[in-house]
Amino acid sequence: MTVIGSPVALRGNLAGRMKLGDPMAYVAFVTLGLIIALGAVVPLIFGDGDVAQDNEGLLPPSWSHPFGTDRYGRDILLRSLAAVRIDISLGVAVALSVLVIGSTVGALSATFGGMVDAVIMRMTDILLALPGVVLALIITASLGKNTWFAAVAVIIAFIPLLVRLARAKALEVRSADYIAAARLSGASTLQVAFQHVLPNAIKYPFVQSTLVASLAILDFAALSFLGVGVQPPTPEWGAMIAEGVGDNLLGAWWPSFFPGLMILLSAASFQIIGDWLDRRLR
Amino acid sequence: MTLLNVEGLAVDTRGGHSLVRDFAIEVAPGEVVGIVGESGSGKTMTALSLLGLLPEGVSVVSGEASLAGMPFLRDGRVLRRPNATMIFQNPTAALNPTMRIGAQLDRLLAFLGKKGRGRAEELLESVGIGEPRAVMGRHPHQLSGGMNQRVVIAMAIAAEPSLLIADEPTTGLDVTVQAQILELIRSTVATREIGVLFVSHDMGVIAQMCRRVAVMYQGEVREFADVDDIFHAPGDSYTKELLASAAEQPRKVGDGTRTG
Repeated sequence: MTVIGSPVALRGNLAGRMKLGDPMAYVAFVTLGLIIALGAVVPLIFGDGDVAQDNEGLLPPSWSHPFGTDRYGRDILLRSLAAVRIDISLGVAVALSVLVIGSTVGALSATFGGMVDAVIMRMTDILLALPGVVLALIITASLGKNTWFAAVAVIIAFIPLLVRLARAKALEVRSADYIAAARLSGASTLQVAFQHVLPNAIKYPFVQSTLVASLAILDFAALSFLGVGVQPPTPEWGAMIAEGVGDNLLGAWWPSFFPGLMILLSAASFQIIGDWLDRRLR
Repeated sequence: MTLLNVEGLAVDTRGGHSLVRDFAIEVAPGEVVGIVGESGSGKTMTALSLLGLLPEGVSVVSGEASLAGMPFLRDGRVLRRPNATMIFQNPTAALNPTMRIGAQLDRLLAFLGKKGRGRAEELLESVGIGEPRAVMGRHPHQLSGGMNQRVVIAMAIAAEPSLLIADEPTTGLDVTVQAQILELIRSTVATREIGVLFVSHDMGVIAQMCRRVAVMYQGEVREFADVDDIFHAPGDSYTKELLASAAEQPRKVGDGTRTG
């Protein structure tokens, strides 16, 4: 009994848990960690590239400008890293909001059942009938061009997915004996939903939320690319790609290539981490 | 004196299929009354209906029931929640897997307004758990089925119910543990004057636990009598068959191995 609680055993246990058992997961964690660390530190030291307009425009990648410069002479590496603050944090924030709202609504829907469940399910049906980006486009088009509206739009687009997932698991949990026991001891439906159903149903929505982070980064960049998300000159990957599109015709591939690469690396990292989590928690 | 009195209880599915018909039973304080029958005979549905725990699509359509003189079911409508708790067939599934035992007990006691230092330990000691502190730090999956069942029993008696419904509480346990749990249930209810409805398909367990037993078949009580009478002078053809099947020895086949 005492061995289990001892620090030695605990350390062994932790080391066991830290073993990822998957080289792809290592790569994903290191990539994402590097992107976040560089995005947090580099702009503090070198600025976000906006002021360095004394450079020549459209310089190809070189040692002084590893990602080249855009048509206004801004350093694309610095701008790509400055965009981490917006893109990654919004991706994570969207995923967390979707996780919290989606699984709560899903658990409540399953626990209450009846009319509440029916109404919530029909609402998710309506939202799921439109593809996420299209839905987000409609929402931003009606709310206005703004970073926050775009984030809210992406959140709304992803909520039904998690509601469905959480509800499916919660329906299974709802029929467990400990739920019957809790009801018997007089717990209200709300208490049952939050104390028993939600904690036992959250595993799958939690794994799914890493995938939501990945998709949210893609969708958010897509909205900015289409001009309804982050507005230039704020550094953001989607907006940077949009700005660089015209330069592609002049043979300058780098203004849109490197922001695209950042999107690919961060979205793929979240996906791989999600797969890894899925296997670990299964 | 009767503690639980049930008359004319009927349970139907939404489609009108009858699961339990004209069920009647009475339980005295401190008495263990058995309900025995094969799978699908309606014994569990009967138990669940008294607690208002019927699954969706199944409901009580008629019947009267009172507990300690207080009616809680009239004309098939539930008037109030009876002061009754339940012990389940699979004790590990009857505890929240995401919470430590101690946290579950504390939450229950707080909910019952009985929170106090050492209350949870006392409760666990009262069901024969020697090291309550160690058990309270564990999650249900880290404990044996027998230990979990003790915890479930502790939680069931925490509310000081006047009726306890035990739905096959030892079916999933080892034979040795089974005997301990049965003894625990018997001693616990005897000292606290709790009436017990003991649902089981095992005639042996019923004979050990109960003085009176109701034999159910296809939703009806075929016989409600003393256990001794049921065993020695079964008055009903189905009871006879049930006893015969319980007494049946495994058949030996040619190569010396045993079957069914």
